Amino acid sequence: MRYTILATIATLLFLTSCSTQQAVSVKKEFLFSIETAIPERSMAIAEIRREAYFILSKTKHAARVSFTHTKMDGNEFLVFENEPDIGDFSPEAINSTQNGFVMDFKVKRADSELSKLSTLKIINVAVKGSSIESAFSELIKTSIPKFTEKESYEFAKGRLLVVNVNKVAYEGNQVVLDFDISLEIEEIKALTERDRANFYGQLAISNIQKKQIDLASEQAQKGLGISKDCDKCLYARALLTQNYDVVRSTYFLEEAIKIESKKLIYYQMLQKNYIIMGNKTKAYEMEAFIMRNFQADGSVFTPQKAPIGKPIERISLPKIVTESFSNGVECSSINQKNLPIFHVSIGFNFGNSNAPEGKMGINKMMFDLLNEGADGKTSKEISEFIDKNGLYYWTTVVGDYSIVNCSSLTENGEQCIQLLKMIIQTPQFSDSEFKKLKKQEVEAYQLKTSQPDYLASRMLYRIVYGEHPYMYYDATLKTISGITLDDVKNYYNSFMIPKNSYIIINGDFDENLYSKLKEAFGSWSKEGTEVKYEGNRVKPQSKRDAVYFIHRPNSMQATIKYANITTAYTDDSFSPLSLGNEILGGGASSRLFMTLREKEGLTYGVYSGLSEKRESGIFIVSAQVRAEVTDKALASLFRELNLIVTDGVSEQELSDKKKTVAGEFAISLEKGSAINEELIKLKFFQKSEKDLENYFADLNKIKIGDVNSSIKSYIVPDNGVIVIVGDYDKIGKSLNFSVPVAVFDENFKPLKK
Amino acid sequence: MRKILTFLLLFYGVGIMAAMIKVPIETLTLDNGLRVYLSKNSATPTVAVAMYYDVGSRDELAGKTGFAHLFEHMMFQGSRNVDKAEHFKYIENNGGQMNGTTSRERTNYYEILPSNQLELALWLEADRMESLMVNNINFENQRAVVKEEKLSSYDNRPYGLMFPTLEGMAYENPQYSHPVIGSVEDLDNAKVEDAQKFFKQYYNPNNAVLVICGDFDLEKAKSLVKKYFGNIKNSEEKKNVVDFTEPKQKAKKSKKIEDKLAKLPALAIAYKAPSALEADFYALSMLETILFNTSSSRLYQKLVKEKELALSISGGINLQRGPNLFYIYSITKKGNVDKVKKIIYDEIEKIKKEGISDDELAKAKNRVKTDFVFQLQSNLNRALQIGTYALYFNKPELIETEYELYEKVTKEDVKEAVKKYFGKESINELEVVVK
Repeated sequence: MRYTILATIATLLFLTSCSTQQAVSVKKEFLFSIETAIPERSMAIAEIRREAYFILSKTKHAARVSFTHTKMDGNEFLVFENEPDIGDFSPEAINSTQNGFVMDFKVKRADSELSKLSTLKIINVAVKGSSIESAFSELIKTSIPKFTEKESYEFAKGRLLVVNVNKVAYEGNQVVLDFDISLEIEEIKALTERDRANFYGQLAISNIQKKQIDLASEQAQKGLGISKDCDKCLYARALLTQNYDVVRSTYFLEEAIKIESKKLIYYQMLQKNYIIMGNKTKAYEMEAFIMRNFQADGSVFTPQKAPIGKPIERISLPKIVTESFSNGVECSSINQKNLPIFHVSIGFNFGNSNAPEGKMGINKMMFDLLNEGADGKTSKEISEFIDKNGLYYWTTVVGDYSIVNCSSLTENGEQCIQLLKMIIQTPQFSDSEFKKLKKQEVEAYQLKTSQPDYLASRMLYRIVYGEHPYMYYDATLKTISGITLDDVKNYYNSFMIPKNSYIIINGDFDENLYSKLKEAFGSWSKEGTEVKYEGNRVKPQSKRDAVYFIHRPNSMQATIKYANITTAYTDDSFSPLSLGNEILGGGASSRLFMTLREKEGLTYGVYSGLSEKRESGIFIVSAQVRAEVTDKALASLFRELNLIVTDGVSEQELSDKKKTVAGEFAISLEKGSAINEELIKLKFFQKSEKDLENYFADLNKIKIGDVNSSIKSYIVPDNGVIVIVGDYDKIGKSLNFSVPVAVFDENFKPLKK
Repeated sequence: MRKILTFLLLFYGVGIMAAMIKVPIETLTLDNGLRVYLSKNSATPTVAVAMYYDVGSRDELAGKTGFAHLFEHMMFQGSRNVDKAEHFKYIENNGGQMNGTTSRERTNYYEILPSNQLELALWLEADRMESLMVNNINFENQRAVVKEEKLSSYDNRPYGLMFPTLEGMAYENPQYSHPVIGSVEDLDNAKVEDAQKFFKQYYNPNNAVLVICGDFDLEKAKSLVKKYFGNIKNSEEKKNVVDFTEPKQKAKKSKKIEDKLAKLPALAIAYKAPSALEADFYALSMLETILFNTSSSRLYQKLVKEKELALSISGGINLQRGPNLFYIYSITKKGNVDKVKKIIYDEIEKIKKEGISDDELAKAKNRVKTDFVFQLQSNLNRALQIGTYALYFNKPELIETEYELYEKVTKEDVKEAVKKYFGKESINELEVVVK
C-alpha cells in the first residue's frame, strides 16, 4: 500500500514547569491525550480526525494539534492543521515507506514569543509503524517512555520534562494516554511569572477535564496569585465556577478575553454563560462576534480588504452652448446623441414665494392651468396631443423658481416645442377649468391630509418660516377660496414673460429642431414685470417655543420631523453643510440610519436633508417610528444631532462623503433632463454653469474645519422646530420636552389635550 | 387618410429605432450554474450590477410568510468579509447607490456606482452569496425593522391595506394570495434557524442571475466575475416544493373594508390576467394606456375631468411570470363609488362590443415606444430589465425585442383579450369605506 502525506504542519512539544526545589514528579497533573473519533464515513472516504493537546512552555499558548487521517481510493493521507498563533512548526521529516510511517518532528523556526523555544532545539520523536495506528502505538511504547529517563533530559538540552506513562487505553475509537511529568527545578526558576502562571492555568484546565476539581482550583488560584494577567488561570476559574456561580464565571471570562482575545473557546463559553443568565442581547452579540472573528476551526479570521477603485477625479460634462435670442430669452443647448431623446425645459425665475400679498398658492395654480386649454384647444385636446405624440409633460414649481418641461423621442421633438409654445404663450385660463381645478384642490386637500408625512411637513414649514413666504407648503382651503381667475390672469400677465425665462434644450437634436425652438421662443414678445431680487424679505429665525403635535387618531406610528433655518444655497457654507448632512443623515450609511435603524431597530428609515433656497434654507430630519418607541427614537435622534454639533465629523467620514456626492453627481447625469433643472437653478441664483464644471475641484477644497463650523452654525438642536404626527392618546404621555406640547387636529386647529 | 398616415409614421418610427437602439448582451455561465449577462453602454461613466435570485414570496410555506422579504433585509447585515451594514457604507462612500426588493416571484439586489467601482460591487455580491452572516442579533434587528416597514408602508398609511386585501381575495392559491411582507404572527414565530435554512435553499449560484450594465471593460469584467463567483458552491438543501397554479375564477367576489386612516372612499378591482410573454398580456398592457394611465385616456377623462366623480383612476398589469392580475384603482369623491363602478364596468363592456379605435391603439403604441427608449437612459434600469427577463424567461434579449410584442398587438387582439379576461364572473371588487 502506498502512503501519501498531503499536508504537513504539526507540532509536538510539551514542556512545562513547576516550582519545587528538586526534580519532582507531579503526579497526574497533566493529561496528554490523543483522541480519535470517526465523525463520518462514506463509501469513498474513511476519515479519522485526531486531536492532540500540547503545552508550549515559555509561551502563553496551549496548542491543539489536529490532523486527519483519510483513506481514499486505496491511498492514505495525513492532513495536519495548526492554529495560526502557534508558530511555524513543521515536521522535519515525514516519510512514508513501504514499511509505514516515520515522523520526525523538529522546531524549524522560532520567532516572536516562541523564540525562547528555539534554544531547546527540541524533542525528536520518531514514530514508526506499518499504519497510522501502529505508528502511534510506537510513539507510546518507545518515544514517550524514553523521556522518563534522565537521558531524555539531556537529550532535550536540560529543559525537558520527564514523562511517566501511567496508562495507555483504547476506548472505542479513542486512544487515551495518561502520564505524569517531572520537572527540573532550575528550569522553573528560569521562567517568567507569567509563564509560570499560565502553566498553572493549563494544569488547572487539564485537571478540570480529568474532574480533579480541588486540585484544579488550587492550581488556577496559584496561577492567579503569581500573575494577575493569566488568561488560562481566569479561564480555569470560569470553568470551575460555571456550574454554581455563572455570574462569577462570566466575570472571569470577561477578564480573560481582555488578556487573550484570540481564543474562540473563551467566547463560546461566554455566549453559553449569557444564555444561562438570560441575557439575550449579550448572548446574541457574542454569537455575532464569534461569527465575525473566528473561523469554523477556531482560528482567528482576518477579513479581506475590499477591492475599492480609485475615486472619480473629474467627469466630462456635455458641452453647453448658450445663445441669447433677440427678445432677450437666453437658451442653452446640450447636444447628446446616445439615444433619440429630446428634452426642453423652460425655467421662470419666480416661484411660490413670489405670490402677491394674500394670494399664496397662486403660482402653482397658474402653472397647473397652463395645459388646461391653450391656443384654441381644449384641455382634452391638449391631452390628446400629448398622448398621441408620446410626450412627457410636467411642471416643477418650488419656492424660488418654476419650470415647464417636455420630453419626447427626437422624432416628436417638433410637437414637444409646439406644446410648450401653446401653453406658455397662449394659455386660455377658462372659467370652467379654473372652477374644476379649485374643486379638485379642495378634494385633494382631504386626500393629502390623510397622509401623516404631509401633515407634518405642512405644519413644519408654517412654524419654521413664520412670516417668510417660504412658509407656503401647499394650497389650503383658505388660499384656494381667496384666489380668483382674474388673479391668475394678472399673475400670468405680469410675470410669465420672456425676460423672466431661461430655456434649456437637451438631447439628440439637429439644427432644424433647434431652429424650430428658436422660432417659437425667439419671437415671443410679451412685456410685464421683470423679477428682481431685493433681498429685503423678513429673515426667519429658528426658535422653539413649543413642540407641535398633530393628533391623528388610530395612527400606529409617530411621524417625527425636526427642522431649523440654515442658509442660502449660494452661501459658501452651503457645500460644507451639505457634506455634514450627508454624514449625519444623507443615506443608508449615515449616522442616523446606522443608529436608529440598524442598531436600535426603531424605524424603517430616518433621513436628514437640506433645502436649496435663494434665501434661507432649512435642515430637516424625518422618521416614522412605532408609537410605543416615540420617546426612545426622539432621544436617539437628538443624541445624534447634539453629537455631531459638539464633536463634529471625522476626516474619514468627510473623505467618504465627498465620494458619495461625487458619485451621485455622476449617476444623475445618466438622465439627460436632470442637468436641466440644475442649470436653471444656477442661472436664477446668479451662479455660473462653471460651478458644475468645477464641481469636483470645489468639492475637494472643502476642509473638515469648514464642515464642522457650518454644522455648529446651522444645526441647532435646541432651537429647531419639532412636529410629531400620531395618536396623541397613545404617545402624549411618554413625551418629555422642556417646552409645552401644542396639540392640533388634522385640519391644523388647536385641540385641548 | 389621417389614420393611415398615423400608422405609417408609427411603422417608420419603429424601423428607425430597431436600427438605432441596440442593447448588446454577452452571456457567461459559470460551472456552478450562475448565469451572467454583461451589457456595455458607455454613455455615462457608471456601472450597474443587479443580482436576481429565483425566490419570492410565492416560494414561502404556510406559517412562514414574509421570509423572502425578511431575507432581503438580512442580505445587508454582513457576510464573511463585510461587517454588519457595511454594505451600505462601501457603496455609498464610494459614490454609489443600492437597494434590494422582493416580489412574489423574485428577490433582487442592485448597485449603481461610478464605473471604476465594478470590482467592489462584484466582491460585495459574491461575499454575501457565499457567506452571509445569519445570526440572532441581525435577525432580531431586521425583524423589528421589517415590522416598522409594514407599519409605514401598509398599516399606518391610508389605503395601505387595499392591495394586499384585494390580492388576498383575487388569488385562490395561497402561494400568491399572501402579502409579500407576510404576517406579523409569522414574522414573530420565525427563527434564525429558518433563515439559515432559507439561505441554503435559495441563495445559490445556480438559482441566480447576475447582470452588469454600463461603462466597463468586457474581458476584465468577465475575469472578475470568475474570480469572485467561480468558486462559490451550491448547497444541497432542497427548495420548497410548491404549486403555483391558480384555479379559474367561477364567480364575482366583492368585499368592503373600513379604512380609519383614509378620508375619501376608494375602489379597487382586479381581474385574473395572463402572464407576461403571452400574447394577451401585451394586448391588455395596451388597455392600461387606453383606459387610464394617460390624461387623454377614456376613464380619466370621464371620471376625473368630465363628471368629476373621482380624484384619480389608474391601474395596469404587472410583468409577472405566474398567475397575474389586471388592476383598476380609483379614489373617489364621497358618495360616488357606485357611479364610478358603473362607468368602469360600462366602459369595459363597451370595449367588448365595439373594441378600440385606431387612434387609441396608435397612441398606446407611441407611449410604449417612448417609454421603451426612455428606460434605456439608465444603466440600472437596463440591468434590472435584463435581470428580470433572464430570470423569468431565460431571454435577456427581451430588453431589445419585447417592444416588438407590443407592436404586434391589433385592435382585435385588445377586444378579444378584454372579452376573454374581463368576464363578470372574473371580477374581484374591493370597496374602501370611510367614516
